[in-house]
Amino acid sequence: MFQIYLPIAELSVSVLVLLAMGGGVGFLSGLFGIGGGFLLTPLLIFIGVPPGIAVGTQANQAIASSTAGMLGHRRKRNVDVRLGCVMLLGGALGTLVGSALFGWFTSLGQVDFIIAVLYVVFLGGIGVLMLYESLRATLRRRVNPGQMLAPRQVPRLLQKLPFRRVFPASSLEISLLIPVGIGFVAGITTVLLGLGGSLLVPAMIYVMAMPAAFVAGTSLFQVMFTSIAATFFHATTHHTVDLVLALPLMLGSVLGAQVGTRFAGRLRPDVARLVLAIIVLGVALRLFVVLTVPPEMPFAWEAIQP
Amino acid sequence: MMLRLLPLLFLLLLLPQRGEAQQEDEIVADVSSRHIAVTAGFNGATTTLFGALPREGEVIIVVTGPLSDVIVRRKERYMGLWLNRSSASFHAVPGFYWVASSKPLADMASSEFLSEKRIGIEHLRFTIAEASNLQESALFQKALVEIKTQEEDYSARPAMVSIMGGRLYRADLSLPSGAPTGEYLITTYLLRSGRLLEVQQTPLVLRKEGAMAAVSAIAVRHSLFYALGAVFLALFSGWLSAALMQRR
Repeated sequence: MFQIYLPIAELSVSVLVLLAMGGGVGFLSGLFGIGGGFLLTPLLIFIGVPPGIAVGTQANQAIASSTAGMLGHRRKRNVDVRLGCVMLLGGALGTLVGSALFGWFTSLGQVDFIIAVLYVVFLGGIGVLMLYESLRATLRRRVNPGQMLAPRQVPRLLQKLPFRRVFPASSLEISLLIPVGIGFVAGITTVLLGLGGSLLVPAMIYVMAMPAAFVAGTSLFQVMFTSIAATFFHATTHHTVDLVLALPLMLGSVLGAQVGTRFAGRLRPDVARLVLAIIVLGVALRLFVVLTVPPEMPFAWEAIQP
Repeated sequence: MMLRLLPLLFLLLLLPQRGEAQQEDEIVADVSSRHIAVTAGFNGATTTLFGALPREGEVIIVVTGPLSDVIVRRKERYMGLWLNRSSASFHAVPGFYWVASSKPLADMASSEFLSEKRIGIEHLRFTIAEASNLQESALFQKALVEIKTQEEDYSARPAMVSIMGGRLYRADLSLPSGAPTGEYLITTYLLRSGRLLEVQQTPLVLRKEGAMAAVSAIAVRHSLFYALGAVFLALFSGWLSAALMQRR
């Protein structure tokens, strides 16, 4: 019902399915403060969108959801623009490197495999980290309700890095190399995997020891710009951004995010992180199975672009 | 003067007769719609292939979609993981393949004939452009046909051609929603007791039209403009939703 033909993906899908997918991802995004790319990209591939177009179109969709989220956080003054700009320096370099890597992996014919491996590594790592941390927080709260999380510190090795600067907004004093490095890695993963915020958020919490209030807003600030760069890259070099596909996804995710944000107030943050950790681990596990279990159909075809 | 015109007069006299003679031998083949428009609401299409036969016989219709070069990759186990290890690429692979016949293929023609004319998916042969291992390329080709069949772009079983009054035939061609856009070729064969009498080829075009055609044309031809549009549209919808949220 309500079928619409996607001109770039060259297939016909139901608008209702796209709205529901966008809505579901937007709901989780509003609830947990993540972009949701790691869920949307596999979902798009599942309904038959070619992987390249799924990644490109998801980047376009991520601009809308990160802009909406970032503006919301900005109103509450929860965005450290200065730190965000420093991270963007690394992010800009990362998107360039990511674009070059994407082209190289495509020419090798290994882009799907590498994307799957990186997904398993990153999502698995993030998932385990979050699961451990949120379980500890949940248990600790039960034992000692007054106590919040243990005070965080930048890992000792990273404290020795040069170029230390003060970021007054989020009251941090860290080496410039840390945010630049994190931005760089996130820039690469945004272009390659459509995975930006879900990587940035834990990195900012655990590596930079940033106050929790600033994490989501500053991460979305960065995701907005890297998604713009990624959209530009995919649209101009591979023509893999499908606007007709992106529009209903954007509409759904924007509506879903509003609902998600309202529910977010009712959910305890440690429980929210626990649920998110389980979802992230689930996706990572599924991809791991695909990589290691003998495939039913080992062959796959692809048109060679003239 | 008259002498010069004489050959011309002769030609004039001959022309209509030759034309009639040709028409009598030929299959007159047509499609209910030669141009199929792929618009926003496109969800597959059905078109009727029909025509008149010069004499009684059996009919086979083959429809092939736009040709492209294709690479087939095979996943192999490497250090515990399944990744693409070997590949083979083929020239001029039809994006769509469909067969219809008035009787089971085996009852109408020899397998040599079917193989020569590439009739039926088991007789499809593609030209190898490159292969990691030439001996295995047949395996890759077989897999390609198998996947295309699963994706419903190739039809495994011939559809029905119905013949009316011995001289008129028709068949319904259904194109899936994922059918590739481009030029299709309809080849109609007329056979009688295993012998080929006539062949006729008719074109069919599947083309994006309207807004959908504009979107994909701009995406390819003016990609910078398209990228700017996509970014601004996303920024705007993000801003709009944030503004609406604040209102409440």
